[in-house]
Amino acid sequence: MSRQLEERQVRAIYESIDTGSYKAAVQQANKLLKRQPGNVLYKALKVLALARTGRPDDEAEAHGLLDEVILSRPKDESVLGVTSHALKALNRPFDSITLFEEAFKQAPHDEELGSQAFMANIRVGNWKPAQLLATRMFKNFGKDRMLWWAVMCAVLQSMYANAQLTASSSLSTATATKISAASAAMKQPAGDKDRTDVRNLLLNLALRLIERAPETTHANADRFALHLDILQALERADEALVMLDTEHGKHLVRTSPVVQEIRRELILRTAAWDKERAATEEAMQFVDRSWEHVLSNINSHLYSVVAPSIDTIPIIDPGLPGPLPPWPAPPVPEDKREALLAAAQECKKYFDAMIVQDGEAGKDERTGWLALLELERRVRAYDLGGRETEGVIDVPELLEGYVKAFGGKAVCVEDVLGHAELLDEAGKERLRASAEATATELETDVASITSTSVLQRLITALKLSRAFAAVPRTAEQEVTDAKRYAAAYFAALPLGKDIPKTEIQPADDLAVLAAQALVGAHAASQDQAYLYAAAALLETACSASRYAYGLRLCLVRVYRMLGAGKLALKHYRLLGAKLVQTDTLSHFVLARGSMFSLASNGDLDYLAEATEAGVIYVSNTAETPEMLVRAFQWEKYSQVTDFMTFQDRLECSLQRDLTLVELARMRILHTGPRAGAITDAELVDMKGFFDRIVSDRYDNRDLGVLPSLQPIAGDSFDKQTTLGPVAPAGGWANAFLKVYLRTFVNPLELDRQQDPEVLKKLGVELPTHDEPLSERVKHLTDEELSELTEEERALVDAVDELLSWVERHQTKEAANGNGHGNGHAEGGDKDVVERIAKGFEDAQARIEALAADPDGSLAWKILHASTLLHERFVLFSLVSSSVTSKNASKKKTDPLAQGVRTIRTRGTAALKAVCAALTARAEREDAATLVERCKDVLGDAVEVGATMDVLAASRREAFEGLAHGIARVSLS
Amino acid sequence: MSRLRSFRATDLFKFNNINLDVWTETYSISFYLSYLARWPDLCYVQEAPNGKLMGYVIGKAEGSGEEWHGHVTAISVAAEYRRLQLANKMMSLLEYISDKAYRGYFVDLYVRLDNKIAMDLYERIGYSVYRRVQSYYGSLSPDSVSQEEDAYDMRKPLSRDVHRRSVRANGRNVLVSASQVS
Repeated sequence: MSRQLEERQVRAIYESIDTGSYKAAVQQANKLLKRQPGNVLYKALKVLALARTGRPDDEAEAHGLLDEVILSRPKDESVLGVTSHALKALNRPFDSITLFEEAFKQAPHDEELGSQAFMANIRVGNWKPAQLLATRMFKNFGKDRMLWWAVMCAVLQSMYANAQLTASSSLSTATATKISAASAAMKQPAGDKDRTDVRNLLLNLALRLIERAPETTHANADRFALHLDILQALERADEALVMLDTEHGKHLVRTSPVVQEIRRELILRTAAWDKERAATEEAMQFVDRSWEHVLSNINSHLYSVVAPSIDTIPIIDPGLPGPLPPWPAPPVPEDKREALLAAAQECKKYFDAMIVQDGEAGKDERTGWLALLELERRVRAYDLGGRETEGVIDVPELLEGYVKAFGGKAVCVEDVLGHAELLDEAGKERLRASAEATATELETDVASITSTSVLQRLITALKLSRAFAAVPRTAEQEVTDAKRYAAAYFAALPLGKDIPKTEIQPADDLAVLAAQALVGAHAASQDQAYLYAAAALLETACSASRYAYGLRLCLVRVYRMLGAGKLALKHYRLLGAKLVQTDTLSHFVLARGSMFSLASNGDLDYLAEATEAGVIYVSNTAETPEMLVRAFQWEKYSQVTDFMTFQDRLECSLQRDLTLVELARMRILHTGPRAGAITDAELVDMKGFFDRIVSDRYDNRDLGVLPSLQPIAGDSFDKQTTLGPVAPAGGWANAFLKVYLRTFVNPLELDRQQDPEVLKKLGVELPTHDEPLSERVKHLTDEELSELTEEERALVDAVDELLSWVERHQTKEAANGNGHGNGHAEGGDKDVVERIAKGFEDAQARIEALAADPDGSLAWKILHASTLLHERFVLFSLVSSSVTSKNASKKKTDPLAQGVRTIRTRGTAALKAVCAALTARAEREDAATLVERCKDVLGDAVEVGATMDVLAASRREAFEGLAHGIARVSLS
Repeated sequence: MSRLRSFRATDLFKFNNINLDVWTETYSISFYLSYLARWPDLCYVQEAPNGKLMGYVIGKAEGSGEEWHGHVTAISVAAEYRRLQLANKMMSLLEYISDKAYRGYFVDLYVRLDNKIAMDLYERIGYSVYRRVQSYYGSLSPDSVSQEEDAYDMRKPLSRDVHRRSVRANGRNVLVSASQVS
């Protein structure tokens, strides 16, 4: 074959792959391989095409062929490129290292190959080999960046050696906070060595490497910052400060936020309080009113009297929530208490003066006010032998003044409530009364609300009056308030009539207040009329303010309570949450979402939503390591640990586990009892996720976007609208993972461990357990049980009873054998069968009672109980089908087979009855009745008809759909 | 009162109150991390004392010769934290770093023609329309009736632009196609 023809044919394969014609590419590669079976490029192309078809058989063939390619130690650029893509597609990052290291060995002068080998190590966090390679490359090629790569890799190694050391003796606090997370991600074994020695050895190595670099290489701010960080970690902060004091250092402090952040920590660590105070006061004089300056200033006053131990310096880390990081309040010796209070008074004077100056200058500045509140918070955190309660400021008076000054800003309420813990009951009442007076004054003349600023003042006053209201609230009180808020809302709505549709209405918060007061009325009375009215009001407000996410999230919550899952999903989708937001926001619809899915009836909306929510985790695995490589390529060392933490938080996200469980539950209700309902890959994920301990999960779920305007002394809006005792979390995920692993995976497979050699290579140390996994899945902890609803517990217990019974038979143990399970009473076959069968009938009775009482039972409870009963039946069918197929040859008198038949008969009857109850419930669903129930709650202000129409239709569809779905999947 | 600090990768877990705004797009992981991996000193957040994010800016440095400049790729402030001068402060820092660290000639940004509120803000802080880029936005804006939308390229000169070449009196009338801009 001519070279020209060969090139043309190879190009054709590339094109086929590029255009997604993988099958054609495989055929084209096969043709070429027929003529040249040993050609590595053809093989590599075939591997890539096979890997991308997505078919398991092709993937298996690709793996085998890929091994051949790697073993041939290719060094040709084209082969390496194609093979590298194939390795990514087949998720074999470690083989990428082998591929490029072998190629580099054969061509040690090829800088590009060396870089590729280095980056292959970076992708998987192989810091030590990466460091050695970078050092060797620096010797060979003399490029500065290679030396700094080696420095960063040495530092990363020191972090893992150091993972369990305290932050104080570690690298910068911000970095150290991240290290434990990053370390957990890499599961690097800590070992028994003296970690401090190892850590210092590695940091000194990094320092020696830096000393070999020419001075000019510090021009890069990230290199400079890394150098400072190492010095700080080695407790050589003075040297770091000398570096910062040079012209170059000063320039970088001015022009690099990263260097600025490290400088601030160095100042704290070197106890240069006076210097810091002068610096912050100078900065604030020139209107740089950064919160950091405020904190540094307060710290410099207080620490000058009682310097905290270096271990407990409360450096504000942006990674930590809240204004005051958890730190042990340092005890203050008796002879220093006066001095500390005096220092606080001096600090107070400074900020008092700032408030006066800002006021005289007509500045709209909150700095001085918030600084005083923070000062008070910090003084009270000290142990002053009782005197801390004296504080330094009159908090109620200050907050009252603050509301007067800044009540026209939306942020005012958040600022006040953020300091509510500084108020005693009298203080809270004073603020409530003051807010109420303001609100009443503004309300008496609604016509005076002619500007958004005045409207905002009214909103602030109403919010604060409500926030500090006494609890418990009666339904009547809540309805009165709801009417008040709704009246103000409709009166103020014209203010926003001319704003673009893309803007949110300035009066929106009044609608939220009204809706939440109605939810409060429901909480107090269980009367659903209030929820109907809340839904109607929120729908009205959403149509006036299409992009107000707070309104829409409230509506999502209310619709879920009312059993209108489709409407909840519709409004959630209108928020446009996507990509990384699915990790933080999908809980709004996916928490216990299978009850709304109707997948059994062929409605795949929820299933699609759960599938979509899982995509970000795949993206994380594919994209984040590449970005880590980029951080090295661009030498932005300040980003390296951040990226690792980010990757870890998605990889081990609680929502990931919850989504996986919900997806599996929806899937089996869609497909019915089929062995392949849950894929092998999902089962492998379940096993892997389960083996993490709960605390290894990161709860990234965002609840901060859900407005909560309920009285702070009572339940939050989130709590009032959560379906179930608590929102599903780690315990819930574990409970369902146990049920599903136990049902779908045989015990031998459950206990199969990964090859220890592979784990060692991955640097993974699995947690050790006393019991094998096949035993651990049989027990539920109290924590797990506490997160379940009554119906979920019933499902867990029933599956446990069923599987334990089957296992006893299968292991030829006596029917009254060893005690497994969750403490249920055991007995003979007849007793067990009776309990399981009766469990179906009991659930049926509960559902019938709920469904027969449309006014008293929240619709979600009916859907939840029915879906869980169906899920229980599908799981039973899965287990029983394997039992009956195994026992097919046995006599019909086999107790297991007989028992299964009995349970199926009675379970089927229960399901049929539930379907009838659901159908009857659907038939009773009537918009006119709903309108009648709620039309008087808010009076004529809100038109409820349209909302009740869609609500009734949605619920009718839900009840009917569920009945049809159960019949389709399990009764046909 | 806020803390203006570097944007960190983990901020993506807490930026919903900003990104649920209709004008604020949410991009892929690679988008954000590729900015942080290259221009971390041009990406900042404003953080409230309680740790909540209030707003952020994502920027980069690009161009060559006298077109070397800082570019504002995205800037947004959550609704509840508007009217606190947060955007101004983030822009000032981005301009300062573009000037002192990158030695750029100007800072620029693109804005939809119908986003009047944003344009007013940029004009107040020294930006002016340099040119109008036709069909710059391929996708519909939330309230748009057209299939594609033009953008104004607004610029603010930095100290290196001593001749103020990045300022044009008639910028709104200078039309270029989207393919002519980076």
